Amino acid sequence: MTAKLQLERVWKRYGTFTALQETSLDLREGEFLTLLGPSGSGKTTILMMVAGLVLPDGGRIAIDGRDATRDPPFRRDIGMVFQSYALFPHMTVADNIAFPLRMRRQREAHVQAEVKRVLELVQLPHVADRMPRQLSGGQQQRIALARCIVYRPGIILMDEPLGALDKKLRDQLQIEIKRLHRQLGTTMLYVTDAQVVTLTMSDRVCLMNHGCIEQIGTPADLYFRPRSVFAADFLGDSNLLEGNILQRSTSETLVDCPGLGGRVLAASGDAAGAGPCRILVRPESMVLAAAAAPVEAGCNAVAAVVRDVIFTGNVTRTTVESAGGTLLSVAGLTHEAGLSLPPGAAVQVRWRPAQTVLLPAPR
Amino acid sequence: MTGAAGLAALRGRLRGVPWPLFPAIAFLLVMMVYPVGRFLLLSVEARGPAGGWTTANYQRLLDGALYWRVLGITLRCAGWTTLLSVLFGYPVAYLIATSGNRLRARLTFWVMLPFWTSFLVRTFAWIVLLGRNGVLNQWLQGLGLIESPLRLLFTFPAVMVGMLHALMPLCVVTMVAVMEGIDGDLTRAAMTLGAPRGSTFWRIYFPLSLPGVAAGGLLVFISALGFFITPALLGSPHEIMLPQIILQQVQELLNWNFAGALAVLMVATVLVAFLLFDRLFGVSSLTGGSAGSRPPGRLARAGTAVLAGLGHGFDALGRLLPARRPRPGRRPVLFGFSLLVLGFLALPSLLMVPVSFTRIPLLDWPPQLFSWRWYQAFLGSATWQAATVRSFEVAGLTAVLSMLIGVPAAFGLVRGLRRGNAAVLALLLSPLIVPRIIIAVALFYLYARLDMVGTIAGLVLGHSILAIPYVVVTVMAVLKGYDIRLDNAAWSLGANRRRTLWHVTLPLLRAGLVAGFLFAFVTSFDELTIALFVTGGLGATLPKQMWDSAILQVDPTLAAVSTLLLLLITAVLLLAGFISRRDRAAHG
Ligand SMILES: Nc1ncnc2c1ncn2[C@@H]1O[C@H](COP(=O)(O)OP(=O)(O)OP(=O)(O)O)[C@@H](O)[C@H]1O
Ligand SMILES: [Mg+2]
Repeated sequence: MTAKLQLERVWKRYGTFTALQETSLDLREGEFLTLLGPSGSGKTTILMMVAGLVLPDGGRIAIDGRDATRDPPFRRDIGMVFQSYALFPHMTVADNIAFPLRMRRQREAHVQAEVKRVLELVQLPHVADRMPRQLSGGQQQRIALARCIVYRPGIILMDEPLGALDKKLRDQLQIEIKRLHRQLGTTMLYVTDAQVVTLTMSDRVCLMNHGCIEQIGTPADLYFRPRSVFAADFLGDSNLLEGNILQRSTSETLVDCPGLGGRVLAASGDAAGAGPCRILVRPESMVLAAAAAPVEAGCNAVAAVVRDVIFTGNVTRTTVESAGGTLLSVAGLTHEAGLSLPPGAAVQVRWRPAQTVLLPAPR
Repeated sequence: MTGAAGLAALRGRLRGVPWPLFPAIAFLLVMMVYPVGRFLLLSVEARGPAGGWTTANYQRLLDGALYWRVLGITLRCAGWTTLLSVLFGYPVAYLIATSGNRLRARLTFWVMLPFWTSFLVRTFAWIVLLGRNGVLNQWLQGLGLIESPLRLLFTFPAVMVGMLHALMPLCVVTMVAVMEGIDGDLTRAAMTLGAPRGSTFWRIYFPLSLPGVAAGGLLVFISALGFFITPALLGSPHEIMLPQIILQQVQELLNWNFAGALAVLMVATVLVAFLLFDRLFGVSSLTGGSAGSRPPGRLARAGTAVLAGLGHGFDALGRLLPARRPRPGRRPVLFGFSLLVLGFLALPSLLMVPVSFTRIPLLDWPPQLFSWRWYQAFLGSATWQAATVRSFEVAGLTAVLSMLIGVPAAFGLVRGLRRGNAAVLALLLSPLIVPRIIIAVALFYLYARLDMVGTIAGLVLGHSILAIPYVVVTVMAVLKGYDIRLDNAAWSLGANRRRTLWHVTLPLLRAGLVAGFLFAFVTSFDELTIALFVTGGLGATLPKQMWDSAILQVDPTLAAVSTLLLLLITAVLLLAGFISRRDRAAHG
């Protein structure tokens, strides 16, 4: 089966600055893929190329297996939601939504019916005759979405469509976008620099950095099996430590970690060979125990001193200082005993070897 | 208790008063509204010592077919100038608004170039270009296209060329201002939604740029109504316009009262144009306000249908053309057309440079090179030198005075009160809208009674009326982009209001202030209409001196002066550009 959308070794340069290095990417029919990455990493550049608003300097773009690299935007069967919404200010909401249908010269009766249908889909049937300026930010966003889905494009592109909204609205609209995606079954390419969005909505996430794909996989892949320090750091909280691989077997790897004041065990992945490496442990993988409690065989345990306890509702974050002098962040469900730990109390930090992620040391 | 509380309340109320606006309001009321009102009122005052009211002047106006014919000519000239300015200016404005920064700056320079040559000199340049033995006729004969020279000068097209040349830059700049506000995402969105290039332009970009077209057109139309030098020099008696008749009444027939009636006719025409504009587009779009706060009316619906048709037509055309996609950023047709228009705009200014080195005492083409004699004539003449010095003096004082009045007003408008803002802004901008000839005649009438004709003060006050709107608009523009939190930060760091203003606000606004000062300076430096009337016994300013010497005999000294001024202004612009670039570099 051919992919819905295929990028083959496309790249783009502005003057001498390379905005996008040679990049290849495939989207399945109906897939929700998120482009994630820091500002300036080339996400919008990819989106604009898919839309046909920017021509790649090299490479090939195929939609439904057909070469579309040089097709103009209006012949690509794509829909795009802009960060600024780009609602036409001189047309009513209904005319805005009707625009793509009229461009396709559909019958006026059909146009009206479709406009009505999508307005109901985004739950704003009463604003049809208003001007875009008379809508709130969230409503404008939904109209932009409606205008994009009304003509059932094969691929929908969204460039940070929730960036300008407040958190509550953002959460609500995320759920709505996901619901629409499920209802319509459209292929979606979504750009954002907010990690949380990524985790809740995507089938796959493509992490970008400096115009390159850093890692691509399911949200769980990226979170639990990051392949670089950058990926580990970008998604979620992490404890990152320098280490040195001492010994490797098929099942376990022994790492010397001066920052923790001792050695730790990791499950052997495919990440690192021998020599310098980094280890990653997520705060919620670590558990606090009394200093003197007996340690299960094969479990990592590091002596530490409590520095700070932050109660954030159902989760409590504790900062401890390990014997090696490194600050570690430990997160766990709140329970009352944990809250009463005084700063300076001696504790033990424990986690399983399988929860130690080995990463290559950055050059 | 009541004493202290009362004092505090009084102080609070005093702080709410928009003090910064007062000087500007007072100045314009006294120097413009009153004299113009007085002048217009003359139209209903009976002549002679008996006094009393009369409608005789309007009776005469209604009866005289001549005046209606002149009004017709005036409207026709202004209408055609407006139409052509928009037609030729729109593609140039579009190119400027959609180009990258560097190209945009360069194109803008060429559009503005005519402004840096005296208006009078440009008109004479057109005489050289269009005359019987002028450049154009020589070329056409040289190419063998015509046998004997065409009659180009002293015709309606010649007047059109002169007026178009004088007013198109204004139109382009106004349209660019609106076009730059059009979000590029809108046209991009239209394309992703399936609109080919033709539909994208006609259904999205063009309607959004219409307020700019209307504002530019309105400015051109109103300015064109007040033109009299161009038609007088380039036209025939068939092209006589309303201002010329007013002049005739005042200068030759000394009939102020009838001149007043004619002025009322002219102001009424301006007002009608303005009201029409407001009905169709809303005045807010003049100041870059917003489209689309109300659903479209029936007229707009009809317009939409027309534009939709145009869009489909162009799309069909596009499908006939080869399918190869042009490289983005290359628009040969648009670019070529714009270069032609820019060439038209630059031609007269550049023509004067070679002419100034001619050996013979004729403003003629081709120049007989090479001689410095006209530069020597200029530098050796006490009259020319006195005029130069006076022009600098008047322009300098005008710039200072209009900054002192205009800058606080701009602060007051941007930072201060909310109610009545529109009315105050309308007053401050009204000198751009009231025809200049009427301001000039009205000032002359006022000064004559105050014995101020022929004083520097009179000239400076008059020029300041014209310069204040430019200062206000320029400074308001930079103030709107100024982050007021910087002021708050300075206060929180212990600076009082005065020190904040002096050490933080003004330095950061320097680029805008410099631009405002330059605008005011150039406005005064190139001003002829008011100078014609109120210079009187005082020695002339440069434009006035050019005018006087041109009436006696046009000689290439004019070209020499123009070339020197072009050099000077280019130097000033480069300097200003350098300062603003350095500021931008310094402030990020
Ligand atoms: N027209 C352009 N001219 C020059 N450089 C550009 C242009 N467009 C983008 N760039 C540069 O290319 C790089 C990638 O830009 P892009 O817009 O793809 O980033 P992004 O990942 O979308 O960032 P953000 O999250 O801030 O939107 C940036 O460094 C940007 O400065
Ligand atoms: Mg972006």
